[in-house]
Amino acid sequence: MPATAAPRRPDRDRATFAALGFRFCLVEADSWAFEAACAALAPLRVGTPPVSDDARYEIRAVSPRRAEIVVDGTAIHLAAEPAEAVEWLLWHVNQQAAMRSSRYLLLHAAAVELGGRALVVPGSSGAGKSTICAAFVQAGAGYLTDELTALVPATTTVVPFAKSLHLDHRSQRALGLLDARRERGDAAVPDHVAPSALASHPAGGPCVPRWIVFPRHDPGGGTGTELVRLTAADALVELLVHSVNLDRHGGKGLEVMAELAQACRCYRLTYADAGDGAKVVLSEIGAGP
Amino acid sequence: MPDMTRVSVEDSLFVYDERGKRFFVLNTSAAAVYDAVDGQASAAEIADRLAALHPEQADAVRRDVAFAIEGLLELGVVAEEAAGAAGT
Repeated sequence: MPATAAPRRPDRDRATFAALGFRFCLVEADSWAFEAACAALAPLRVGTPPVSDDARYEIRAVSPRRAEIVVDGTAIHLAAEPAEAVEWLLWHVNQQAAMRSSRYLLLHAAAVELGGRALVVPGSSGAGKSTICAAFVQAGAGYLTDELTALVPATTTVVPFAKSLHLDHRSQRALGLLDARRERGDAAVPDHVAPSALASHPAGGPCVPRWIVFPRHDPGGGTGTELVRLTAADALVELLVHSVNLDRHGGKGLEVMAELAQACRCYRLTYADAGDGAKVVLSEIGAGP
Repeated sequence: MPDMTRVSVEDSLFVYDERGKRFFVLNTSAAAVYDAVDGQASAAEIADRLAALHPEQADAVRRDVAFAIEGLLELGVVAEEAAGAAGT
């Protein structure tokens, strides 16, 4: 009797995800990359496939070391190794989520939930948003997002975009997230961390902001931890600077941001140690453990 | 001003330019000049009006008004046609 290949279960070779307004699927072309990418995208996975996907991703191994990312049949990036391909895929998904979520007012910001209200952490790349966000989650806050905060303009409600957090090796070490084997360099350390690695019940739900903290990570630690209250006008300038799509919302977007700056308590946080920084903020706003 | 959305927060006036997709932040003095530029009043009339509010610094106010109108025009916060009278 000729051998026949067992049909693959559909959930083994195709996974669907939602990143704010961006719906996409990942199709297995290389088992290692597929599993690694699915693990990294796990917080965004949806149970029921949408009627149609905005994009169809594949990561194909083109040699033992090289892999390419294919979107809707077109190769768009050649990575030096599969792990880099996964990181690049996460970056691309983030970009697409921003581009295809124009109904939301988007901020370059992390956000967590504390007692049903949101603490928003706007900042440029390298300001330490993800690191302090992870420290808040470790301290008991609900995770909403680490890079892209989506606000419903009519209500200023933050919509969760709970993707894996982008944390480099140094931040992971500072947060106590590296195990001994990885510390020795025995295994590659991805630049992303699943929210479930930070706390047992990390997810936050939609909520309205109550606090805004603009971080400045100072790893040298010269100033230690410093938390300074900002005026609403100063906070509004910062919010506008960190807006991703103010041009799509125009004057209405300005009005929403102004409402937010005036309704929230706003601070500038300078920190060297993320755990200390989170503790100082939580103590100030009365949400400490 | 058409195509401009304005929001006051504390002592600052935030202006969003819908056409240029830009925002501006004006302090109290610049906001007073911005409000006075209506396409009707000349720069001298605006300066006189604002100087009357601060008679002890009238000369400085007149200089500041001229400087502010020039700056608002340069940045495009006020349109040429609106500032036509003030700019002359």
